[in-house]
Amino acid sequence: MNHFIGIPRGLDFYLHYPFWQSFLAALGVPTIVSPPTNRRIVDLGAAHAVDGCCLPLKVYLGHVLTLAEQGVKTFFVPQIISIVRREYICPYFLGLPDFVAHYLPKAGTSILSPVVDARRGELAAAKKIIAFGTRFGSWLQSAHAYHTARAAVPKATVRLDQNRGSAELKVLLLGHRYLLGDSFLNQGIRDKLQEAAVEVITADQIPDTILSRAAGKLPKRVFWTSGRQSLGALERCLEDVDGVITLAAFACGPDSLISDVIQRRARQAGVPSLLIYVDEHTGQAGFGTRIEAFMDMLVRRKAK
Amino acid sequence: MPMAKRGVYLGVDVGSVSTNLVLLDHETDDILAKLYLRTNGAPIHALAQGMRQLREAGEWDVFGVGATGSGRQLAAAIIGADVVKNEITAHAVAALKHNPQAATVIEIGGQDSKIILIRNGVVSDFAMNTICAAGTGSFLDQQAARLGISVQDFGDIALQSRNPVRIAGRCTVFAESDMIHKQQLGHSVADILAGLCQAMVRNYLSGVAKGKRIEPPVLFQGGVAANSGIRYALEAALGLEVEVPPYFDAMGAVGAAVLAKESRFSSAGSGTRFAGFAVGESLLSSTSWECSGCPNHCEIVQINRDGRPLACWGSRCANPMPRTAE
Repeated sequence: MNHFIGIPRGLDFYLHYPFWQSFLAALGVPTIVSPPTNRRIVDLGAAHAVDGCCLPLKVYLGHVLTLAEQGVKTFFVPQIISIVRREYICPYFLGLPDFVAHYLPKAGTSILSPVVDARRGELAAAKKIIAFGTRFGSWLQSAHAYHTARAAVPKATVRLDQNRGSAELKVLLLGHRYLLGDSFLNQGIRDKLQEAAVEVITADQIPDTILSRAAGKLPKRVFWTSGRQSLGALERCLEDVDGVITLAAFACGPDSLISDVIQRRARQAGVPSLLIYVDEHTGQAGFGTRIEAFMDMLVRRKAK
Repeated sequence: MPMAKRGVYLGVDVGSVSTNLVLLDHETDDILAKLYLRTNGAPIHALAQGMRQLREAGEWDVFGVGATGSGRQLAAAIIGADVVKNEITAHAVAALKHNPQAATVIEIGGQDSKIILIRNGVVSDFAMNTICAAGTGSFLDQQAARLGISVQDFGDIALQSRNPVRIAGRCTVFAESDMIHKQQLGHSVADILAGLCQAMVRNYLSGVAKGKRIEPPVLFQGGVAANSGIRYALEAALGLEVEVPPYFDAMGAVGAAVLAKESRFSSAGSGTRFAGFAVGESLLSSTSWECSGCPNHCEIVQINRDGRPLACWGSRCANPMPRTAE
């Protein structure tokens, strides 16, 4: 494992993994990803992380420590300042490399932190990433890897407005991608909804330009990318869905504001909305009961 | 004198504090029997006892069974349920059976509390207490015991208060210290109990109802509805009349029975899964272990009837490891 670069399966993984995987592979860098989140990873992260940080950050640390146990010496922890022009993401992403370094032994380990900063647009961000890649090859090779990686990123496809009027229920599922993508943290909510024959719509299925335009209807600009995407998806889909479910991470600052706006907008529009907070103590019973009751409510409303 | 068997639907609600069973007449929708049993941490025992008591109460022909409550899975496995539903749906269905115009259901049980908003006969919104169980029945039980009064007398004593004290109800630990402090200052038990009722209502309205529009008719359900002090404090805070339906402490079970009846009509011809009242006489046990198949270490529970496995749950995957012999 010594020469492998470890990629923790958390936070940025759910935003950019296809890009980084392709970028590093094109430069011939061997990588290893930590296993899907399990109880042990959550416990490991929660036991070590400082008090007060959010669940996804604790779990990220659990992934880092799991990789370290496997013998990984070099960790890939991007420092993300901004992923969309004139927007920010959560400040924890900004401090992530320093946060991780604190928990690793100083001797024998290193952290690779490309800086992602799109505040001044994509070109400026690309330059920094290509500069980061030059440690594995020439500038030209790195630029080529960048373009290969850009092409590898799956495109969002709009699937709205279809099947309207069919008996099937449509639910808009909102939340950070690292919650919606991690089936341990979200307690398999996607499977639960799909078992109930519900069509699930998420913000990442909708092109960002559409999300931006829809979020523009709000009285004030939202400068957190994830929140802007959630609210954009809400504005875009409110009339097309039977209900909205929001997953929020306990102790997440932006979520505490964004989820409240979601609740209010849904209530104004008369669309049922369910807000669920997840933390490392989340019981399966309460979680399942809420989802089940919410689905019952949607089914009974529709039948009426 | 031998009587014809009555056709009934059995509703079961296994909660943290009480296990309730009702029999719903399949023709008249009347409640023919109602049991409110303390779960006492032994839901299997409570279920078996309930089955024995129901059998002694009459001759029943069970057409269908509905289970609800936090122990609904357990109840469904042991007595054989046709419908297994969450408490919110069950409580809403029961409220609508009692009053088809019901617009708000306030439910405070042993360890959880909920609010259900109903518009035009359909649930339109709901909320449950999330992280904290402050202000639920268990806390009232504890405090009554600490003050040396029976929880049945709690409400009537609180109603005698002329000058309720202010108690911090946000957290039960702080509420208890506050109560002790007020006692030491010399306030009467009635004033402290009335203050506690107001604190619980404040906590409920800010923590569970959270600004939801509470419209009449308002139904108050769950074991805590027996407490006239809480009901009075609710009415005072809401400025609305709050109705406590008959069977208020078994509305979950009533709802489960109604749901069982509904589902039997929608799937006519199929027989009930009811295991029979004899289940109350059989040897029921549960075993649990931690699965060692993967790092998730799921807690597996297996329910046994007369030594044979009846049901198994708790695993995140389809193939938990069997219990290893010790």
